Amino acid sequence: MKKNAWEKMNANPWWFKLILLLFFGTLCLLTLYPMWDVLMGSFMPLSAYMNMPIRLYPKNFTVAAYTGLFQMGDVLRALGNTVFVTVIGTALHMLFMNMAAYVLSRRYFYGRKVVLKMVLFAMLFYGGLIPSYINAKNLGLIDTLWVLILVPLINPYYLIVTRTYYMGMPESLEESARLDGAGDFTVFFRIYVPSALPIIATMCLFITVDRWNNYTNNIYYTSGNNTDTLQMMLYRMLNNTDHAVAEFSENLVNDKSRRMAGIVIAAAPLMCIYPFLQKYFAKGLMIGSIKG
Amino acid sequence: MLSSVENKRKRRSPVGACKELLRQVKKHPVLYFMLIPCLAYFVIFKYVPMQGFLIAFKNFRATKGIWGSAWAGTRHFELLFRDAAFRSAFRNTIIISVSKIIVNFVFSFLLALMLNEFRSQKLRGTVQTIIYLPHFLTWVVIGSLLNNMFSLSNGVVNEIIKWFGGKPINLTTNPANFRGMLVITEAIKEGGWNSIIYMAAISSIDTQMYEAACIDGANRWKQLLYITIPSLLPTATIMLILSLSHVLSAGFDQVYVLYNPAVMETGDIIDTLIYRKALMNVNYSYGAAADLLKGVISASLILATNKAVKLLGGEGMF
Repeated sequence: MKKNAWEKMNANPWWFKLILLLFFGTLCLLTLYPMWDVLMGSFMPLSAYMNMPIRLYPKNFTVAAYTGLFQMGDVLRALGNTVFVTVIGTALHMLFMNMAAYVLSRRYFYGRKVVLKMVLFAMLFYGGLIPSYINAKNLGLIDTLWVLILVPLINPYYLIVTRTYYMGMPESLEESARLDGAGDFTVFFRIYVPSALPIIATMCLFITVDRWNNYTNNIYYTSGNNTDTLQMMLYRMLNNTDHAVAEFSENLVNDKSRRMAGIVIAAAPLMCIYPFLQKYFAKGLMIGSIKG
Repeated sequence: MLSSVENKRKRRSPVGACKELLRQVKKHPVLYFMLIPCLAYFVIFKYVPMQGFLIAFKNFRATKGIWGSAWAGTRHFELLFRDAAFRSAFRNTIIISVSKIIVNFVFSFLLALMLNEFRSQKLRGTVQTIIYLPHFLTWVVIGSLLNNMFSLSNGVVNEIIKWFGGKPINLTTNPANFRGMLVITEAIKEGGWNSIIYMAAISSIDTQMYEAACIDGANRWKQLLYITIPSLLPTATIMLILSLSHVLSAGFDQVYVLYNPAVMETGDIIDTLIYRKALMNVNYSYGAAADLLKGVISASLILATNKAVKLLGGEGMF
C-alpha cells in the first residue's frame, strides 16, 4: 500500500504501534482463549485436560464427550426446539413487525399517534413477571413451545427502528406506485419491501440471534425438559444450584468434558456464521442509532 | 399534494373520532388489516398483563386471582422499604450499574480510539471480528467459561498468577471481588460491540481537518485531543445519558449465572431478588411491588434522559 507524503508524516511512532499490538493482542487472547480452551477440552479425555495447564492442542483426541452427550437424548430434542422456535419466531416477528412498521410510517394513517403511544407505553412499562405468567397460563401456553414464540413475538424497539427506516424512504416511491394504480398492499409488498432489504436483513439477523440465545423465557414459562431450548439445556447441565433444576438431577452432567462438549454445541452455530455476517450486524447497529 | 386536507388537525369528540375511524377503515382497509396482528400481540401480551400493577396493592392469593384478592394499600411498598434484602439489592444494583456504565463507556471509547489508529484495514477488520464475538454468546456460555477459568484449583487465571509467584485469587465466591469481576467481565464482553457506535462517529469526521492540523504541526496526540475527542463528545454524551436510563437493570443474565449464596450481600441485584422472592418463595405481592417500583423509576429515567438528550441537541429515541 503506497503511502503518500501526508500519511508518512502523520504515521504513529514505532513504540505506539508496539503498545497497540500488545493491547489488542492481549484483548484478543482474553476473548479467544476461553473458547479455545473449552473446544480443546471437549475433544480430550478429562485426565489429559487436567494434566495440561494450558491446552493448546487436543492431546489424545477423542469424541467420547460428544457421543456421551448425544446418548443422553436431550441434545437433539433441544436442538430441534431451538431451531423451531428460532425459525418460526423470526418469520412471524419479521412479517408482523414490517407490516406494522409500514402502516405506522404512513402519514395518512388515521390513529397513528395513538398506536405509537401504545407501543411506547408498552416499551416503558412492563407489567411484571407474575401477571405475564398468569396471562400465559390462562391462554394455555405454559409448558408448550408456542410460549417461547408468542411471548417475545414483537420487540417494540425494533419496531420503532424499522418504522423510522420506512419513514426515511422517499415518498416518491409510493406516489409513483399509486399513479400506476397500486393499492396499499401492493405498494408495501412490491415496492417498499424490496427497497428496504438492508433493514430487513439486519433486523432478521438481530432477531435470530435474540431468539437463539434466549433462555430466560424457558426459565419463566416452562418446566420439564421437553420444551428446553439449547441454551436452557446447557444451563441445566452446568448449574446445579437452582431449586428448579435439582429435581431433574438426572440431567446433571458431572463429567466436565461432556459439559464442555455441551458448551461447544450451544455456541458453535452462531460462532460459525457470525464472521461472515458480522459487517451486517455492525451496519444494523448504526442504522438504528446514528441518523444521517 | 397528497394530504393537505388531512394535515389539518380537527378536534373531534369521541363519537366523531369513531366515525372518522370507520371512514378511514373503509378507505384503507388493507392498512388496518396489516396492523391487526401487531396490535393484538401488544394488547394480549403487554396490556392485559398490566393488571399486574394491581397485585402490588393487594394481598395476592393465587386461588382468588387478581380481582378476588383483598386490597392491601401500600402495605407491600412499606414492607419493601423495610426489607434489608431489598435495600441491599437496591444498593448493589446502583453500585454495579453505575460502575458498569462508567467502565463500559471508558473502555469502548478507548477501543474505538485505538482501533482508529490501525493503518491496515485487514488487520483492523480481523481484530474487530474477534472483539465483537463475546457479544453474541450468552452469559450461560460465558458464565461457565468464566467459572472454568477462575477456578481456584486449576483455572487458567490462577495458574498464571501462581506461575508469577503470587497467591491464587478467589473471584467467584469472594463477596469483595464479585462486583469488580462482574464489571470487568461485562466490559470485555460488550466493549467491542459498544465501540461500533464510536467508530462510526469517528469515520464521519472529515479527514481534511486532520490534514490541516498536521500541516499546522500537530502530532497525532494533539490531533486526538483537539479533533477526534471533541467531535466524539456529542455522541458520547448521548450514549452516556441514554445508558443512565437503564441504571436499575444491572444485568440479570450475568448475575443469575454467576452468583451463588456466598456473594449475596454484594452481588444480589433487584432483578434476581424479585425472581427469587416471586417465583421461589411465592411472595407474589412482594415481587409485584418491587417490579412496579422499578418500572416507575425506569420509565421516569428514560423519559427524563430522553428529554435531556433532546435539549442537548441530539435526537432522542422518541
